[in-house]
Amino acid sequence: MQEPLWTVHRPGDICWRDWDGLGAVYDDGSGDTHLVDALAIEFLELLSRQPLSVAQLLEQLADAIPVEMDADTATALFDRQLRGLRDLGLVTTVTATA
Amino acid sequence: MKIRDLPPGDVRRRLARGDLVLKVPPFVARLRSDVDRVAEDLKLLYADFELGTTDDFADFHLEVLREGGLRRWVKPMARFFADGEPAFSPLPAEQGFHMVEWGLNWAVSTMAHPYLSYHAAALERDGRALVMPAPPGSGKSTLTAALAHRGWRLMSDEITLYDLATGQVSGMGRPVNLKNVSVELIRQFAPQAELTRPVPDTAKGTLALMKAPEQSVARIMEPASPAWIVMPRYTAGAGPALHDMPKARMLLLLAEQAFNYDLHGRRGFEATADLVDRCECLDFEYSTLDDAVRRIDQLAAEAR
Amino acid sequence: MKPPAPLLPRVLLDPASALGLRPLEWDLLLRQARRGVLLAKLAVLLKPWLAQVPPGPRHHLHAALMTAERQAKLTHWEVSRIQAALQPLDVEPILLKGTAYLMAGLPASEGRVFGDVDILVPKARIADIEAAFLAHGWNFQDDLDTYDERYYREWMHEIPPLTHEDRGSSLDVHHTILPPSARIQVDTAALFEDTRELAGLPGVHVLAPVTMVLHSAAHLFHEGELEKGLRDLFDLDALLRDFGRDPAFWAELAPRARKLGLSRPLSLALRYTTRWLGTPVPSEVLAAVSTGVPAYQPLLDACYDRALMPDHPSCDGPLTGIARLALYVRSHWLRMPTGLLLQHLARKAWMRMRPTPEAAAEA
Repeated sequence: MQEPLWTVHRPGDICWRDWDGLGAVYDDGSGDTHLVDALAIEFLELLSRQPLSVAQLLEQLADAIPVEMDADTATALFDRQLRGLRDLGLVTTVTATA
Repeated sequence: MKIRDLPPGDVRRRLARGDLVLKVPPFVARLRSDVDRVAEDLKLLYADFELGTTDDFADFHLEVLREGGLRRWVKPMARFFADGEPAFSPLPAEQGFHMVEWGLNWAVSTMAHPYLSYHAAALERDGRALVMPAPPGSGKSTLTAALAHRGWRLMSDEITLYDLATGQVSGMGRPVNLKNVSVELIRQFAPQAELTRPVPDTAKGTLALMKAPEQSVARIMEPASPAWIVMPRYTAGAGPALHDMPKARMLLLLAEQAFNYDLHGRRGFEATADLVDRCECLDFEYSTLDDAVRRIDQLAAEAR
Repeated sequence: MKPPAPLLPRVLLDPASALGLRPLEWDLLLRQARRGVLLAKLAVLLKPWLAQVPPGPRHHLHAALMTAERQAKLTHWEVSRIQAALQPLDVEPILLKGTAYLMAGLPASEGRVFGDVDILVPKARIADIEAAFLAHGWNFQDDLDTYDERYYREWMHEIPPLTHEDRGSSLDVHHTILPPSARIQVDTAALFEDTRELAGLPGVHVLAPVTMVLHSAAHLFHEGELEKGLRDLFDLDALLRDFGRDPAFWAELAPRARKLGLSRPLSLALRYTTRWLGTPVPSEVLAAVSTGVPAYQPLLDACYDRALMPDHPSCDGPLTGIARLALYVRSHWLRMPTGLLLQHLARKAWMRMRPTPEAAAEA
């Protein structure tokens, strides 16, 4: 089963700025401004460069994950964050190419 | 010619004819009223403001007119009109000038598009601006009135304009809104302050308006570099305390308090982000005006 | 209140003439335009000369352009949300009026102010559709009393207007294009047969050109009154000029009007757009829909009364240059932002586009 790849939805509309662990994301399509945490900003940064799966994100952000957090928990955390961002219309999944 | 230079009775006459053209840079407002109280309050609060001519283009046409009917004699009521359209329910005529101020706030907030306009107070010292965004009840206006009489130049109480091109803020030198206990507080704190006769028993309590000091109005065209964005929070019994506020949070707060943020779209976001980036973003808890003013002065004195 | 001078229509028909205006005339022009919901239109027409407009008025025009642009962007978003809500139901809405002009990229959308979104859906699915919208964050007005609600449901056969709880946008869901109480009964089923699906937004449609024009005409002259006046007339003019480039459009117009029962509104619409805005309409089409003098005379009288016109329009042939127009302007506020407190994560973008003085007084 192909893992879905996540990407920034409507990159022309979405931009963000961050300071010390908190960020603000602006969506020109909806006119919304969102307050998000550092992890979300990291996701946006990485996903704006190329579509990535949760596994790939975990790999790239390995240093950010607390040592005591096991892989399953980390995956669940990332998954939840991504779905939250998707609900806000900021990210979306694309089908992985073979 | 300024309002204070007009011969006696002239303000009232011009208002009655709808010929009072008031320059409130960067805007021009044409005013009309048959309510004596409006003339009285205008003469006090806008004494230092320049007049335009009746041939000038006016950005807004604002009117406060007496309502007719039997009530006219018992308890005179007045209604506000902006560009010929009524707005607000009729209110006692003595609140007439407050309606003008609300109307001006609204008109400016819908029009200030070359700027980003925020619902915030702004004061300047040594070329640097203190911006105080605040939802109602924060005590912002009382603090603004106090600082305006303690060495800070008042730029605005309600609407701060942010120039997207230059990154500078400016205000309009308009009156400060005072309510209930603040009226007496400011009278005590700054006996030289010029206030309108308080209007009791309004929906918001007792209201008064404080004139911007003459120096403030004289320098109204001088913008300033924003240096501090401070969220005041009046808390009974609290010692003055400034805390850093996360910039992202301040960004959202400013966006919430902005009038035309959405209109500017992405530019509005980036400009607001630049603003919080450049400024110290602080949360300010205080209970007495003396403490508050001292602490803010200290902030200004600290090296950045 | 003295009747408005015919400054606004004069400038709308000859924008360059605005450059000769004195400050006080600009003052009047902009206020008339704002009340006629034509400020953005005026701004679009003055775009080639904007740099020469004096700074005072120029700021207002620029603001109007910015607002229209922003509203257009938000309308796109709104339509995408509507599509998302209806897609699971396999309901394909037909966009109406300004929203349709915008999403279809029509010239009629230029300088237009957008507010409510109007959609047409099959009557049989109304209950499901209502449920879907409520589930996606739209609500009815809190203070809608039972009388109002019955008015909408039983009398107008519509669901009451919806407002989105986060965005503050308005949505009107129709299943006919004229209320059942209207004297003219439209064949609604026929409308659904011939729509245009939007490229890039599958499942979302607009009316076919001829139907779009007929719908606009029907509303312009609903009940024989000029309801929205000059603004709507300009919409119609823009549609006719654009669609009229195709001869097949003209060939179909009168026959379709007859089929839908809209000959009379079409006749009135064509009469007034040609007379007042110089819309190029082939004479054979005018002849085909002509309903004779007595029909419009009372209308003209009614128009003039309501339009507060100082002069009567010329009755001799088509409009040449500046002529006197019957101007019916309804008071309306150009919808612009206000400082409402918003929820933490979402902004009431649409509410911000519609400030009221009352809201400013609350601040």
